[in-house]
Amino acid sequence: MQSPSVAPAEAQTPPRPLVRRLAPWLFGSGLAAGVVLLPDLALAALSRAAAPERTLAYLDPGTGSFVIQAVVAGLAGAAVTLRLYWGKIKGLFGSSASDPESATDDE
Amino acid sequence: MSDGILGASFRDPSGFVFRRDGVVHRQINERYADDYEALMASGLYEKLVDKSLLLSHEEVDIAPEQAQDHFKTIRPEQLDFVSYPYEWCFSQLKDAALATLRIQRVALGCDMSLKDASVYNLQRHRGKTVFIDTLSFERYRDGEPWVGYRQFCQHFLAPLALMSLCDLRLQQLLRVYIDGVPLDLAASLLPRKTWLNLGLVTHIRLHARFQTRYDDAGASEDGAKKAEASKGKLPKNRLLNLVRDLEAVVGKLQWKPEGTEWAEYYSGDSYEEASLAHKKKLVAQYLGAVSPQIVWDLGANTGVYSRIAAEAGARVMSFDVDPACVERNYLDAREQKEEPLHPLLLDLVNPSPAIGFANEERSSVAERANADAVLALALIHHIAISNNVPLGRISAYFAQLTPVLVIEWVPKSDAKVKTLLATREDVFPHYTREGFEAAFAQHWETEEAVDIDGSERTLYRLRRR
Repeated sequence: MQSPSVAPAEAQTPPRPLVRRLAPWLFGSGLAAGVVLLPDLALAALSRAAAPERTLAYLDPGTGSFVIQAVVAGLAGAAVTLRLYWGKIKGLFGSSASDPESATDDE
Repeated sequence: MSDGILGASFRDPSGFVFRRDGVVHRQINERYADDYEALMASGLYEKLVDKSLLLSHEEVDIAPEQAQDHFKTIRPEQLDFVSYPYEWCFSQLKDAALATLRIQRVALGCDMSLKDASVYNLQRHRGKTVFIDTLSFERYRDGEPWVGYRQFCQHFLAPLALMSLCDLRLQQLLRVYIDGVPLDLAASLLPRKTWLNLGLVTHIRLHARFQTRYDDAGASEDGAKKAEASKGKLPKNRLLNLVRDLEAVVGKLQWKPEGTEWAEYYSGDSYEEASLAHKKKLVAQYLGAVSPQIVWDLGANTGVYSRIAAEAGARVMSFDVDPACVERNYLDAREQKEEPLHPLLLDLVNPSPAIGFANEERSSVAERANADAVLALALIHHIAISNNVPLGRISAYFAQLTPVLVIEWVPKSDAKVKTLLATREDVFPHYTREGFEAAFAQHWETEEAVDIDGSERTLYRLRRR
């Protein structure tokens, strides 16, 4: 038994190969910046075009959470493609791209 | 634990959970009849049970708990113990998140969908992470987004991201916010570097901004009209992309204790080899004398003695205050497929309270006490000396938890206690073996007491008076 006042260790990221460290800059930052810098009006327009219909559920799904799914699902499609593409590039550099946590058995 | 409807079971009108003669049942109400039939007929139930993702159940023909609205009663497989996400280690919460997403993916494949994504719907059972709420499934309606998305982000993604990227202790926000961590709070706490993480930018930061914009607006008539006007469709393949994206985002979140060397967490009791062997033998012998079905190991460290209890045939709740120990214990149990072990996080000097409406939705630790025996090894000095809890109160609390207590007395002359007292005044005149025995005699009768070879410690087996 450790002392009850033990301070939990902080999250630590192991050193990553250069390719991985650059990855978010190459893809993440560009996309993130793109998303963040889109003017609010443009976002609203985008969501209005794609916003889903809602029916009533016992939980309030939240209007914002409903609307954003259309946006995120579109981005997610792009992200899935990007990841696949990026995995292939990383493959060229010999680093393992597979993520063991995400089950791929499609059910 | 008394019979009747459980305090946690009131949000969803589809049915409720009740206990009768000690056995947990679930009543299904008329309004859920069609979805229940669809769950069973679509093949989804069978698929999920086959994959050990859903708790199995059988339909039973007993008098309804509430005749009004009654459609059917089912009796699910019984759980050893119900634990809460603020008692889980990082990996257990992550496993629960991934199980939820996988279930949603399988459900969509069967034209069904999860109608909520509560973290309280998952439990560790026989070494697996299983979904326990049979009434959480509904028929998928074409073009409809995922009702549980907001809840998933609040119950799983936000706490995992905060634990992984900010500070592990932020997990305890789940103890404060029963419906998960508010996304605007998560967004304000996440470090700036996470602006580079597209998944977190969208599912947490952008999501929070949309909530502010639309949910607040939704309260006004104008906002409701706007939302109503923005009708469209979310095709199923895009919904599946959303679920897969969440899987990838969650899958990448990691936590490892500082130094990443697990070995240092095995420090345990600073015993000599021979003493350790004697202590292990005594623990096995004491447990053998009472053959408990359920054992709670308090201050379990990485679970060495929990495994001795498991070998003796018990199912074991293996509690420790150190998240790194619980994580190690959980990862070992998961890897070795040790079904009887439940590694859990618990601070004994501030145990999980009862929370939620009327303080009845989530029970305190003592309310969930179901142990036939409790192990309290190398523990008492941490409670009595580090936290100044009088021995009599420790004895009284343990008496709430169990009829049989295996407890190790650690005297002041012990090196560990000396360390605790090195930098402070000794205000514990009653912390002596005689004082311990007198305090515990109020609630317990001593059945065995043996000095551990080569140490100054004593192992007691006590029975509640």
